[in-house]
Amino acid sequence: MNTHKYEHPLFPVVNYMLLTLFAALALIPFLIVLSGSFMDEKEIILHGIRLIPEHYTFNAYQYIFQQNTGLFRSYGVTIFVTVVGTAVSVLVTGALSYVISVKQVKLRDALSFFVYFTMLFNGGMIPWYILCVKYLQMKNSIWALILPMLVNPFYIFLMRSYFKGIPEALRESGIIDGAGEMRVFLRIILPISAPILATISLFYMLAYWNDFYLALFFVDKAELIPLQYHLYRILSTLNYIASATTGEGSAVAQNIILPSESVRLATTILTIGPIIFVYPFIQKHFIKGITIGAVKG
Amino acid sequence: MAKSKASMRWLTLAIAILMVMGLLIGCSKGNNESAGNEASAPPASSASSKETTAGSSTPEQPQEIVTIKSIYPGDKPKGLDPVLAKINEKLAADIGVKLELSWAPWDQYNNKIVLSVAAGEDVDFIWSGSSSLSQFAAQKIIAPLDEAMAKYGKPIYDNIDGKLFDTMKLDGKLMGIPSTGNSPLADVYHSILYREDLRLKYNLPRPDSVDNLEAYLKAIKTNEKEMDPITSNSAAYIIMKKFGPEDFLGGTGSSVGYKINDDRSVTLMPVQEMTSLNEANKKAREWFQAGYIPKDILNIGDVTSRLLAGATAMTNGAALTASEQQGTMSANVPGAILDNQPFFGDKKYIASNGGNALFLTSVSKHADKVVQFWSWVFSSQENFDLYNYGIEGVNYELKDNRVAFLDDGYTAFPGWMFKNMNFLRFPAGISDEYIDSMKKWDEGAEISPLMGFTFNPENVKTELAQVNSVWNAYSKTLESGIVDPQQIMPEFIDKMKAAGQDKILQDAQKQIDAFLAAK
Amino acid sequence: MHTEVTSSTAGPDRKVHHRNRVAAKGRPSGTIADLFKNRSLYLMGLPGVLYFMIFSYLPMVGIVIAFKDYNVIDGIFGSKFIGFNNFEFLIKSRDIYRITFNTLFLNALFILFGTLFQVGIALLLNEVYAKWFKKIAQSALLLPFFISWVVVGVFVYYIFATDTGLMNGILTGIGLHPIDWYTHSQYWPTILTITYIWKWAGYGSIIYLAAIVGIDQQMYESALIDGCSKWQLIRYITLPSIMPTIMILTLLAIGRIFYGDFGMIFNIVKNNVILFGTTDVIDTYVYRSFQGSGGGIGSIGMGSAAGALQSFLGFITILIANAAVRKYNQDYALY
Repeated sequence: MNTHKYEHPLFPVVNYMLLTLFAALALIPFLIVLSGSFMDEKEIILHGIRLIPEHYTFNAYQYIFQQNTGLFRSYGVTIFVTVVGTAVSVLVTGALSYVISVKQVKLRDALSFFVYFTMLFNGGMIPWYILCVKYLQMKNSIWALILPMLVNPFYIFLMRSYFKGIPEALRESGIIDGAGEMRVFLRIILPISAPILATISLFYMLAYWNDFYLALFFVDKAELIPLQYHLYRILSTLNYIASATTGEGSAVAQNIILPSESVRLATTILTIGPIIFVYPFIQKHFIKGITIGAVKG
Repeated sequence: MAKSKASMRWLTLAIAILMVMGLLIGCSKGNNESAGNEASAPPASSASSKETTAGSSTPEQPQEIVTIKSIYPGDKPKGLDPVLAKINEKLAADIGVKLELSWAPWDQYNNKIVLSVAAGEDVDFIWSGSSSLSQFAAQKIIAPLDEAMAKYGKPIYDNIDGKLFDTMKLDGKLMGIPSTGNSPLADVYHSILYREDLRLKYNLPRPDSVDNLEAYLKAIKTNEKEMDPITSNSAAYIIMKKFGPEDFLGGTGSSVGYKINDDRSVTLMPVQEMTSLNEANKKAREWFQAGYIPKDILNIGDVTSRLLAGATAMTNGAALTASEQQGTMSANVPGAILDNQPFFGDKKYIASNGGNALFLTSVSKHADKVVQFWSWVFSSQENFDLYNYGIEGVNYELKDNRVAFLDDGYTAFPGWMFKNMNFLRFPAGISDEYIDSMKKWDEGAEISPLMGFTFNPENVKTELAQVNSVWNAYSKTLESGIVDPQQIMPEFIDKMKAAGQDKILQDAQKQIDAFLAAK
Repeated sequence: MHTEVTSSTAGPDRKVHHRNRVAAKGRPSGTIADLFKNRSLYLMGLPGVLYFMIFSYLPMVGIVIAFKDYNVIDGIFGSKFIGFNNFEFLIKSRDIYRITFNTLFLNALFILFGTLFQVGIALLLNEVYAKWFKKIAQSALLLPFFISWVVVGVFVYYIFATDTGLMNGILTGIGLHPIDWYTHSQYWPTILTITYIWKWAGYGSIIYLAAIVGIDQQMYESALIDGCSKWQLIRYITLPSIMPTIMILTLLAIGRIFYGDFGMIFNIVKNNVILFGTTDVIDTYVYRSFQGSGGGIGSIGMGSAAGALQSFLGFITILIANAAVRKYNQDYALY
């Protein structure tokens, strides 16, 4: 968008400064986490996390990798779940969102309410667990890591908003030209929905990537444990052992201080790592502008 | 038109097939897991099933080897598989049992138990703090053990004081076993874990009285500038018995206190009228103001790590914690020696049952085998060692009657399940005096008249939740001395009363009267 | 099981291009007819609907647990019905007004300032023309999303600790008196709001940025030709175009306004009762009610009751809010 000729000359300067400030505020804690993950636990306890530590050590990472040899396998599980999950989620979410965005669909408000209601009321963990384990037999299945979180109603509303903004005329002209609804959706609507598709894909990707909850309840088999659950288990044990001040939790016999703080930081880094590589590819969709007028032609 | 209809149908059909496929795949995998009780390999240890004779013979002879399952809290110890295999080998030979374990993170443990039992999954026994008894019973998660214990419980009764089992009875039925009952019990949480080497360094007397403890803290404050003398958010709790005989009545959400009179009668009082606690709170306040307790004590993370790193000289620590932490302490600060010191009142009473318990689930079909397994651990030093320390020569070795772990490869089952002074081994670096002091911990202690009393919360559930909330909010503040108790007490009392404290107290009085009369 | 995201997105509200939809050419109206007429669309939406039926509506029967003395053997349907007993511990509590107020007040602050910053950052980012700067800034801004509240709690401690904290270091450095942050509750709504903004600004701005980017460039071009200034562009084109997004996200947040952000508050405030006056919310209160010494405290039914109450109150709120918004502009409404 070339509006620069009409700017106050100071505007870009202020803009850059503000953004740099915010970015720095966001970045610095991350860098501290990064450096903390390489710090010795004792130093953390005595002096706190620092941006530039006195000594570097791989203790935290070693501890994580040693805990269970399944770490690489869990990366694989997570990647599969993330890729397949995101693909199916975006498809299903997109389809439903589109349907409730079309003015012609008389039930769209009812369906919207149908979807929204699920964000308000929830029967709790017990019936959900019984349903998934007893009736759907999802225990120790890879689909247990995908299906229960397949559609997030929040994202349905995000996509619906976007689709609503697409002029009716576009859809109508497609139909008049003889295309079916599905074709219109796939060939006309989706191509100009890159920004929202990118956004929702990113969000679903993050959701699948970060999830440990489903594994916590549904997976016992070592081969199916995703990355986050792996890391969560390590942390959970450390938390408990470290925080137990009564006889109910005694430390295991290891000759190092359980690296709980540094491990916690290291798990943060291990989580973010891969996403940072994927993100730039998606970013370009937030950056390009589109001109619907051109598509219309 | 027809073409697009077809492509649309195809797509929705595809999605439908995808979902159905998903369910089917999930279905078949699920069936394998849930149906295969005897035949399935233990989770994450299919290798071990090839090693054990037990594993390979399982499918053919279901009557001979029964698999019992449990969920343990925490993470599977590294290097567990060969040890578990050996345990199962012996279990198969000794009692015809195979142990199958799955793990749940600590903070989700109780949750997972409830969900598993609610969904009818295979769980035979569980661990928990012994105070979970009434909650589990109310939720019907556990089953009575009387029959099975009568048949197979002898080794357990041989090694744990019979009177402790009364604490696990509800309506006359035994609902769990106090598995760590044979360990120091009297006032066991009114105790510190501290640096003994520093005491020797500054020529101080043992911190066995409040005055001596103060002297110790003062010395640390003066001489060790980098260390916090004591890091605890419940300093008052530790020393309270020195100021009076009142203690907390369990199960009342910390709203009711009690004291045992010389004639062994029991007097109840609201917790704010406990002289012991009030005086102790004042003392904690003095210490806070003197700088012995760190200012941000309420927001400091984990205190034990601070002790082990050398950032503080003292924290809460029940009996045996010194021996449990000594290894790490020595590694971090060479020459550091840990010790425990209790703060008994004028009279020692045993009211605790060890704090840990094992329960049989209400959905288990193998009550007998479960009890047999528990008994098996206490049947011989050999069994106990195998379960608690691993395979001798591989995971650990014995030197001078002390356990030395051989590598980081195996981390033993933590002692919270079967800790027992008859069998317990101590790690290297622990002095004989310490072991002696642990064994003598309960010397001169009487069994409390309330031993066996479990408060039944049925009538005051609502009030309990409310007082619990108030207590959890105020306790640390009062016991750490961070605020002047005079200031905050009126507020605290007000809220406790409003939360229904009196009702709970009256109910407790009734129950206790009935309990004592029945004796 | 659903992540909570705070920001919104929308396509531009293309009022300019709306046309009244010509009534269906001679086909009958009514629901069945509509189902038939739009069958392709409905079929497209079917998988999504199925998902909600199975994973959301089926388990919803569990809400009855809030009214029962639940135990695992009798199950959801067999356990004894006890009416509103389970709600008493919460409703009759002395603290109910305080915690409800805190929940609503804090959430309102979060919604207001969160949205402000997210939209603001999206607008600023949009004005940047150096692509590399845009990418880097965006990536950096997203990082806080990944840092768990446990770690954030530690950071907040480092900043506000009495003796060793960063803030007090700065204050004494410039000659001012250090403040005992952790023993004064009045500072914490602000601190929590700032923390909230920090955590979600990057994530939320993505949504608004996507919305902004979806605005037809032609509108800007024609406006520029008419001689509009940058501020006018933002005020008359950008903001109105993303207003549906802002409204939807705000409404979604309002529906959850009785749910406190447990992860955040619990990890930052922990057990510091001095701060509870301004930071204790319904969720932390309920958690504390069941935590600790066991012994029959806390039943499944009671926990369920707390959640049911929060859901119900949120439901009433959104009914009112949505109806109000709908009157103003139908396109801004949730349903």
